[in-house]
Amino acid sequence: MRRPGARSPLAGAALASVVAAACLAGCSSPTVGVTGAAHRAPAVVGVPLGSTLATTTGELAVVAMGAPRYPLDTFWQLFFRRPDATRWTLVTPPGVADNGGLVASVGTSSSGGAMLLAGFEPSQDLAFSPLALSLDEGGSWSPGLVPGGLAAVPDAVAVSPGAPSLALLRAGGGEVYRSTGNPTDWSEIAGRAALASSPAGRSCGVGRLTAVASDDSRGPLVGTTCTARGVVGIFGRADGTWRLIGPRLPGPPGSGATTVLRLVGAGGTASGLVAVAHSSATSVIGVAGAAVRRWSSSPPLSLGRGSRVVSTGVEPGGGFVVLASRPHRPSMLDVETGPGGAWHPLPAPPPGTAAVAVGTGGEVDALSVALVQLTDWRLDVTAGRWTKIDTVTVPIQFGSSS
Amino acid sequence: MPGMSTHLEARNSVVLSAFHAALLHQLLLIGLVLVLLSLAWNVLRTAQYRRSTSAGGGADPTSPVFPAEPIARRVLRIGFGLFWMLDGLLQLQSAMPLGLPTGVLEPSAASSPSWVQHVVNVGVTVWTHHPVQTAAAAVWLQLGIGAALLLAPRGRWSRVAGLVAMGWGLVVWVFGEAFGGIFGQGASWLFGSPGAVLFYCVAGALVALPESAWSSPKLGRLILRATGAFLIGMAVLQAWPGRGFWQGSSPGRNAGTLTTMVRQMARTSQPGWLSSTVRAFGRVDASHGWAINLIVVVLLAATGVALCTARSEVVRPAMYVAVALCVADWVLVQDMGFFGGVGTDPNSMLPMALVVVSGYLAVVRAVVPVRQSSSATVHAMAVPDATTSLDRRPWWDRVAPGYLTRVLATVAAMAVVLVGAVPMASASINPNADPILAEAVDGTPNTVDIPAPAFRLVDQAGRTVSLSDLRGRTVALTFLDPVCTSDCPLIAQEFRATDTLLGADASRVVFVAVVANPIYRSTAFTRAFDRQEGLDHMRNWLYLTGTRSALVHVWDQYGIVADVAPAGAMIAHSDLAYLIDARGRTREVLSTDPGDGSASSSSFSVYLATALQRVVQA
Repeated sequence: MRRPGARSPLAGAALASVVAAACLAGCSSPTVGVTGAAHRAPAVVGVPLGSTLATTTGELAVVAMGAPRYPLDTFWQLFFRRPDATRWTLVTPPGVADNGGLVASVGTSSSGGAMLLAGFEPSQDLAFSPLALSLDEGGSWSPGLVPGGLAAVPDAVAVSPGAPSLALLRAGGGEVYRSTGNPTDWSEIAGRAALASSPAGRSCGVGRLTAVASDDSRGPLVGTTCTARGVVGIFGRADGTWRLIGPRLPGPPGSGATTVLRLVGAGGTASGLVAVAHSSATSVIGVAGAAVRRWSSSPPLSLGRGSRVVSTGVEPGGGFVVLASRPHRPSMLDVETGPGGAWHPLPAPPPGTAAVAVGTGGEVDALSVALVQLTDWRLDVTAGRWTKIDTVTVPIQFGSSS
Repeated sequence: MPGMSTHLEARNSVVLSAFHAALLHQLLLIGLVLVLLSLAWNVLRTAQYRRSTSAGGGADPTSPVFPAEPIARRVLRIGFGLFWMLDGLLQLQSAMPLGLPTGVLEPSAASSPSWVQHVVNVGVTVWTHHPVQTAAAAVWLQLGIGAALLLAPRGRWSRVAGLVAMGWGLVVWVFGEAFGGIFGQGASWLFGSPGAVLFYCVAGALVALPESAWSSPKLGRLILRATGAFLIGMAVLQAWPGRGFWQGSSPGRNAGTLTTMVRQMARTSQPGWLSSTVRAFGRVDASHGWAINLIVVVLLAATGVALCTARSEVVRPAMYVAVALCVADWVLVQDMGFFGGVGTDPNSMLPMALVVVSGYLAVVRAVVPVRQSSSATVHAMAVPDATTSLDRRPWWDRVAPGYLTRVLATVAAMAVVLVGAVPMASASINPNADPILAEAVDGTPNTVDIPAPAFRLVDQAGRTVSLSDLRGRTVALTFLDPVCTSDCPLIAQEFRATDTLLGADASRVVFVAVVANPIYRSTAFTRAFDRQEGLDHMRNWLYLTGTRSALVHVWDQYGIVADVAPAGAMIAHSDLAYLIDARGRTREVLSTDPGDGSASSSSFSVYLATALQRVVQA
């Protein structure tokens, strides 16, 4: 006879199995939906390597080609165009696999032509970054070497006429090295830890270093992320001391953490493309300043929820180009009309556009990629449409990196 | 050559030949054991006959007296004995040595949490590093367990067989089935949760129980209630919303979980009738996914509740339903489990059905009638050990010939288990991969005896080094690109590991690499490479470079290609190693292609160390 109140073995077994199954279901069910907290998290802006840089001595473009979904079949290419040329030339430095990424900078050589400095991002089992230096616009290259792996940001190397070259390494959140000539001889001039603990760094809340620029009249410049709201992490070096020279953003942009996406310096003027993360969305702002406390900034360009920066570009005057992909909509392309000027929306570029360059004559070129072909599209501003200018077939060797 | 790394096919002929050779050698060993045991049997029987007749007794002890083996236990023992035999035979499939890790082990853990994947990876590593040894060992382990269960019906040998089955089953369940996928997404009774081998473990544990446990219906009730509770739990899991089981397939929506699974199973290599049956069920589920799941949930829950009652009149129809459900799922969803080339068992449904049937029999036929005999002969296998120890008659009067045969047969089965267990244990503690992998990737070394071409280059410290400076030591010479992203770092690590494997012989060997990049070739790069690979502290390591023309000359002399490829590609260079003896003569030439994984890389180190020892000793 069963005791009153005693649980039957059947009920016990059923209860145990239900609890076990519920636990299993809880353990094994895929997460469905997104929590409210996740919705409120600020959009994260990556710093894409796909980029362009235009100077008075020439323009360069770094684009991923091949099959970008597969890292070992992604081959980064470097294209160069002289100011007076209409066509882009493939100048990717040989001798190193560049599946991990390529970064480059352009300056003026002693002969007045373009000097290119390219760096290879570490990939697979290669942990350090070889460099390649060209004094003849990419016609020939000489090897160089930095003492570590370059940071995966477009402005990880910088050359400037009359100033030392700079390299931003990824170790420890960012280390800045300088070289005065020999591209295998580098010495450290800044590190994230030292910068973050300095008074200037504390006022910004330095997270990691994201860009370097070399300015002959202003010295080395370093861009960082800043957790202090609205503070733009651009640091300059004076008398051996790093100082925060970036501005504090006014108005609503001043309420978000910032990331310097691009940084250039020329003739004493520094220009930066800054991403500001808000709780709801992310916007980008161009800032430019010739001296401390004399900064101008563009209005914020809102990227919208779910948007992703695909490529950034620097125009010869120091303004910026931003190409962003948007979910279920054509890509968004905006050009900043001069340093600190307004954003000007352009027609959506052709499908597959990997980078957009603004030349010395104000022409806008969209470089679209389809496997091994790069197509150069020129914007007809008056007609508001893109016209095919040229196609370059790149001799990619698939399978060469595995 | 970097960029052209070799991938081993699942049926690589070198590995397959080694697998067959290992099986043959082990079969010969087992044959030897059988011969020895036959001789022992013959000797014992002769002695028994002579002693019995000289003592004036009959020719043989009479038939043993013992209660019959409980039918439930017998069903379990023979059924799972046959399953283990089938599994052992399935391990003979030619894709097992190289295909099991990628075809079975890794997929089984793919949807599980990272800690499960980490655990499974231990098994994957052991198998991947020793594919021949482990695959052959698994064959004999499982055949031996099956034979032991079939041949030892009673007593301690039978219980030991049950324990061994449970132990190996647990190993397979954890490392081979990723805990039966119970921690993975999409775990479902339909797909085999909690894993076939868990039922093998349960059966092994039940066989290992003392026989007194089977003398009352309690054990049967426990089996039925546990199975019932399990089925109720599986019904709840099956009914849980958001797991994709309530939907079939409709335009604009992703196919349901069951439909997707059935479609995948229908694509497995299998007989046409089975494929068309599974495909037909897939179509039914696609259009009636909700109804199919409802039927499954209701049947699972109802069967589970009925089994939990453990009342024979309720359990009997429930058992039939459970068996029918299991068979239907086995054919329509699990696709009979063992097709496709790397099927290791018939999946979970038949073992589970067998456990249910055994539980039922243990309830309804628990009382075992004792066969009475007038003989005083006692069968040691059939009765508790205590009884045996009280019998003080000599062994030739106690042991029946049939018992003797069966004991020796069981010993033979356990010997087969050992033939598998010893190499399996040895493989699991050996960190170095089997050199057969390197041989499969790179082929056998070319043996030559010709003067090695001279060279004069600069080492990583800037010192000039020529081949003649290295006379008196064996030289392992290779060609590495200091900025290579794939093969060269692996080859460097292989050289480093070889240095360790050589032990005392390492002092008689110098490892030399010559730069294989015409652009990135300065000592800054060789030093950076050494730092990256941890070679800067290896005393017998030289990384040589020189002017472009000096390098090209050495490459030409050694037949090395180093092509500069455009558009972001790596330098394409030959992966070769030359083993040069102490007199400066090339003795062996090896391909150093590191293949596509750490297993073949580690394997190459063993392979190279063996080759170097040959040259050192020559």
